[in-house]
Amino acid sequence: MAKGKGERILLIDDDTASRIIARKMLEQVGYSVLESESAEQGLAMALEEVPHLIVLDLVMPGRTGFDFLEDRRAHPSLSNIPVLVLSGNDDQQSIFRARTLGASEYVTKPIVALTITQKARKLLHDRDFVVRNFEDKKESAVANIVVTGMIRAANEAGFLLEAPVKIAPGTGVVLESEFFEKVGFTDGVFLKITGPAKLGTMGQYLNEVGMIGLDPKTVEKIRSVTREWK
Amino acid sequence: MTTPKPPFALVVEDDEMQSRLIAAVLRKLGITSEILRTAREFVQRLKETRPDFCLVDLNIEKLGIGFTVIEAVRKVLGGGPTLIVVSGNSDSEAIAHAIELGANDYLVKPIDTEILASKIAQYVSTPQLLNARSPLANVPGNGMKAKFALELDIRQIDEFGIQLRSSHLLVKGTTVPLSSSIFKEFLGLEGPLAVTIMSTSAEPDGFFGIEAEFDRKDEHLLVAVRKWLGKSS
Repeated sequence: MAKGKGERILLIDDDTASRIIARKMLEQVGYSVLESESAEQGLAMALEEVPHLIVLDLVMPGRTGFDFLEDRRAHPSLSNIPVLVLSGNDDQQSIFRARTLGASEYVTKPIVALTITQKARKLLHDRDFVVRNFEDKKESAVANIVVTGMIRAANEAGFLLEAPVKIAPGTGVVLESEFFEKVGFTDGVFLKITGPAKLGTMGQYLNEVGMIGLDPKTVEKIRSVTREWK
Repeated sequence: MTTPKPPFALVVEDDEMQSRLIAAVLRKLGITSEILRTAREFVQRLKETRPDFCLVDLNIEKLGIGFTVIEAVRKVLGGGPTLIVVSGNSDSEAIAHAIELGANDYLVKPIDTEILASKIAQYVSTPQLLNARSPLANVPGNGMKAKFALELDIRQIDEFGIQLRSSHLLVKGTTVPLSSSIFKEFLGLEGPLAVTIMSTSAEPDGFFGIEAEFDRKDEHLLVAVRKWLGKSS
């Protein structure tokens, strides 16, 4: 599925100036930015908002960025969100530790617009949110959609239903329409698609629907109504 | 230029008068037919003649035989020929049962030529049928609104939308309300959610793959989906 712009990035940094700079850089290239000034608040926001990317500072009062990376492991819903570390620490030990704790990228301050936006792009492109697949499962998963169409024409055998769907021939359908009251059905009627739909107007399809189980009295009633329409 | 072969109907009807009437009507509609009196003869001739459509009297011989005949048609010739049931029984359970067993249509006797022609014309075509069937009358005011539900299989759900599989082809760009017990169970959604059909593709088995997207402005929903997908990994 296409990955559009407007992905949400959570910035966790205690330094207001750094947050403002990073925010401007990311917003300029079309991302939506959330801010947090501590690791604790950042974790709560990540759980609540489930952003697409987390940009994390390491050195913060209270719980640090390393603590955040550790805490994050306890929450499966955060495991697929990439973390870009943005830190003043440029020593190998910090880089190694952050990487070991699950950081996807490590960028050192001062913040350079091109670097941060390129890294964000790469991580957002590479990220792989879990896809829940139902075809492999034993239990079937079904969805119901409600479609609105128009009954355009009718005779005593059936009618033409124009709708944004080409219904498979032989499908039984249940329709709600004042049409049925007009032609005298009080207890409902069995309906079935009788053949392949034809293309209607505005890209819609004309589905031919058969009314099934008609008795002579009902046939006569439909005739008298449709005769008035001619 | 050769004339196209007229459609062939295999009929089972044990009443002499009705048989003659049906034969005359079908002839008039440009349809050749063979009328049989018993279910046994009818089933025997099914394979040999491979009819374009079958007309089955539900009340032949004894109770229940008509239903057996419907089953036999589907067993012997599959979904191929159109099967129209004629019966004196207007009971909705009998109609539902006949449809369930594979009948395409069901008409309650006595039957006049015009309705029979209109019904047959929904499935087969002859020049005579075009004249005999009732023309479709346009519904005044450009039509009447109708709502209906369709069931589709869910293939997969990702953070942007849902992939479906269906024998029905949905028009791209259409926004429809979609509901599923999955959304209720995992996302706590009570009502349907709006999805927009983004793309469709035909599959070799005649089904369609359909990609539908969630409302991108509904951040609450998108967050709930991402949370659920994260948890289910």
